[in-house]
Amino acid sequence: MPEGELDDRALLAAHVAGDPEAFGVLFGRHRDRLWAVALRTLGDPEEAADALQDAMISAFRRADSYRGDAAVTTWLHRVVVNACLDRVRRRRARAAEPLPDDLEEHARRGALATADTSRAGGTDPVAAVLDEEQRAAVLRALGTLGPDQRAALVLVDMQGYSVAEAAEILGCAPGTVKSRCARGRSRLAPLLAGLRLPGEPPPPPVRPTTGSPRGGDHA
Amino acid sequence: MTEQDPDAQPDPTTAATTDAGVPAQERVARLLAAAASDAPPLPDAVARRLDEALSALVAERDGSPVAGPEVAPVAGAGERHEEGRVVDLRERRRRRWPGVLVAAATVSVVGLGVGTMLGSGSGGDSASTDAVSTLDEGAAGGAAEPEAAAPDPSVAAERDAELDGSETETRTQGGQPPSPEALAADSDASPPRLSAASLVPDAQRIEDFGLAAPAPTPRLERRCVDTGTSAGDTWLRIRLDGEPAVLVLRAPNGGRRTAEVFTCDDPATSAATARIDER
Repeated sequence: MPEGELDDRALLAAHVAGDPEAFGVLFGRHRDRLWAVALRTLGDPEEAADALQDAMISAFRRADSYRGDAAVTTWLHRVVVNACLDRVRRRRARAAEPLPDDLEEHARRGALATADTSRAGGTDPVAAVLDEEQRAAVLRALGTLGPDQRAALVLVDMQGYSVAEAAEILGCAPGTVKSRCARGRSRLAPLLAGLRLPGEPPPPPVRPTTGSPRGGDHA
Repeated sequence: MTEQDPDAQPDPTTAATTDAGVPAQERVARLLAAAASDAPPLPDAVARRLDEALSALVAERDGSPVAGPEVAPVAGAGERHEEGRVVDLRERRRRRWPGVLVAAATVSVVGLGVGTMLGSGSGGDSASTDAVSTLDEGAAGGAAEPEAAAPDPSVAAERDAELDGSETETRTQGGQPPSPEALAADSDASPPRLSAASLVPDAQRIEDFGLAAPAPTPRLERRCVDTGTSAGDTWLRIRLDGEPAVLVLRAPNGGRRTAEVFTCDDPATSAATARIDER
């Protein structure tokens, strides 16, 4: 049977058995999504590329350690997320440097944010720019979180994994994922307070106040 | 930043609402989802890079069905520190150290004896060369050795010199201009083994442990690297996929360094490059 018709487990088994093509087919199936996870988690295209390559090499060499108790995609995601988290921790431990504040620059280079030209060309360019700015703001805020909270939110809120799946990927309990998500969202909430949800009408214009500034509390 | 207690605990803001009436948690989740709605595809450049790395991995495996010494072992996939090709070289050197001492002493004695028998003064030099070889090849045996007592400080410098080989080279060559063959032989002795397929983590490992020297030794490195250098560059003899080569870590720029590998076959052109984090 051609590799392209094999399922993920069969491909991984074929790779372990020595099939030179199997891993490429397997990784090729999922690499776009793995790339998205790496990019969202690290916020830097160069770092994400390095992490993805590290993860691919690791998965290639350690495929025989796959025990089959999770989906192959979960295992691959775990490898990628751990490669990303290692990079984040190493970066922080090395210099306690602030997270990159040039996400918008990366976004404009087309890797992070994605209001691409086709989109901009097909809709109101002003709206596209606003969407783009909002997306950059969200990603910038995400970058202020610790790596564990960030990874949990990337998987659950951005990539759409269930809490249980994210827990498998992150190697922790579902309750821990829930906690990390909740705390991460709580930290993001004030940072994102000024942003509009999709479809949400713009806020009404601010009217000058005429009453007493101390008159806010009424029984 | 320190991670909060991972145990699930009530979060005081979970039930908070915004002016729009949407719970704050849900609102943030929706904003995150919206930001991720247009997932960027894998850039072509990254895809090519992955394909090249994969080809190298396949070729590597085809060439050596059993995991070979060129490939540093990887930590268990799916475990923490997944990027575990980062081998703790210091730890490995510590494990090797007792075996190295024994081997060096043994070879020195043998070399001195042979030198005496032949009436040659080069016995000690040969001993050093062999000892360095033992350093490189005896990993398995060294790893099995029990931990030694605290190393003698008097030999610490010699052990450190083994890292870049400069001191050993000077002793082994006795000041004579080396032939290219001798240089190649030297490079076979002890340098770290890197793989083009995993150059990024391998070079990062070199950087993280500060193994590269701030200046080239005047022999192999200079002969194998014929390109502009600048202050802040660091150098290390290595073997790239088994071939003698020199790793040049370019001066840090914005917290990143460019790692370039030059082989002695083409000193003017880097055989491989990678971008790594500054230590």
